[in-house]
Amino acid sequence: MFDFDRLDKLIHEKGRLAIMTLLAARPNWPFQDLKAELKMSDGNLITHLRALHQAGYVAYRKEILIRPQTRYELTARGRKAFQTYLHVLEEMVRSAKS
Amino acid sequence: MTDSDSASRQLRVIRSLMERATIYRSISAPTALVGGLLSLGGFAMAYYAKHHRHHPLSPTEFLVVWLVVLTLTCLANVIFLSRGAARRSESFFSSGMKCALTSLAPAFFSAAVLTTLMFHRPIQLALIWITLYGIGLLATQHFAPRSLIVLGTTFFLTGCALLVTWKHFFMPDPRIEPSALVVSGIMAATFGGYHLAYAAAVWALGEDRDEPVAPTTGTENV
Repeated sequence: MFDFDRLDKLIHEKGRLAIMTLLAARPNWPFQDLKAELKMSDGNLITHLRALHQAGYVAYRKEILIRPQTRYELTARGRKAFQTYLHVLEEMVRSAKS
Repeated sequence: MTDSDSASRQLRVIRSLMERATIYRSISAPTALVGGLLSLGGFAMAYYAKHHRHHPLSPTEFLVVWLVVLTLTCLANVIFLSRGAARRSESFFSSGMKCALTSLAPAFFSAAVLTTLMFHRPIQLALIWITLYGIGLLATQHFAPRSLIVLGTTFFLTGCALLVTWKHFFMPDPRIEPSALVVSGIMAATFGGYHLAYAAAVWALGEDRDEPVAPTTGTENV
């Protein structure tokens, strides 16, 4: 019997999972690019990012190039949590097949 | 829907999102710097041959000089890309590298074939190289960073413009072809100048940063 409690509930939400996936794919993302890629509203995206940041999964830095922007990236803890989440999903699929 | 189906679906979504978001820079900024400087070196060779040896580069010598520049630049690219891959704990032949190679291959293969056919006409070689290099870079645009797309577009447009107008610009008499020095100047301006500008832009915009930085502690904008 598969133990579903092993799935990280914070990541296992559609919006946050998409954010974690994108952050895992590139070193960092400007807020506006994340918003455009995920087609989320500012408020929705900020809420999810805040939850992930408070869990220590996401870090950010502010910078001014042509205009001010905030870049987001996975922390080491966030990357590990995401990898663990993937492993659990894979195990779930494998155990159902066997 | 069973939990297994749901998990499979989640994994498919994750895979598709990651593939879409993955960016691969097939030409690193340090490589562009090396390639740009080597291109200026190629021009210096042509200048030396014309003004100090008193015998301009022959078409074969022109080809050899620029093939050496290409070879050294490719070697530098392999070194810098493999170092970058090692730093990110990735394989050198990553999926990004394979995508880049398969995207670049048609344009580069065409350039190689046309080089064997036109090696005795430096001006045509240069214009073909410039145009096909641009086309090759543009073929990677689905996963290339913006700066590389701009570089490819610039090469492509320059190549097309020169293919149409070079006789008016460089050779009013259509019976004579531009000297190896003039053609080397075109090569230095494009492969040299454009690559140096690209490297400077990548560094200035901070696009070369691929190391995660330490998390911040504030939450005011999160």
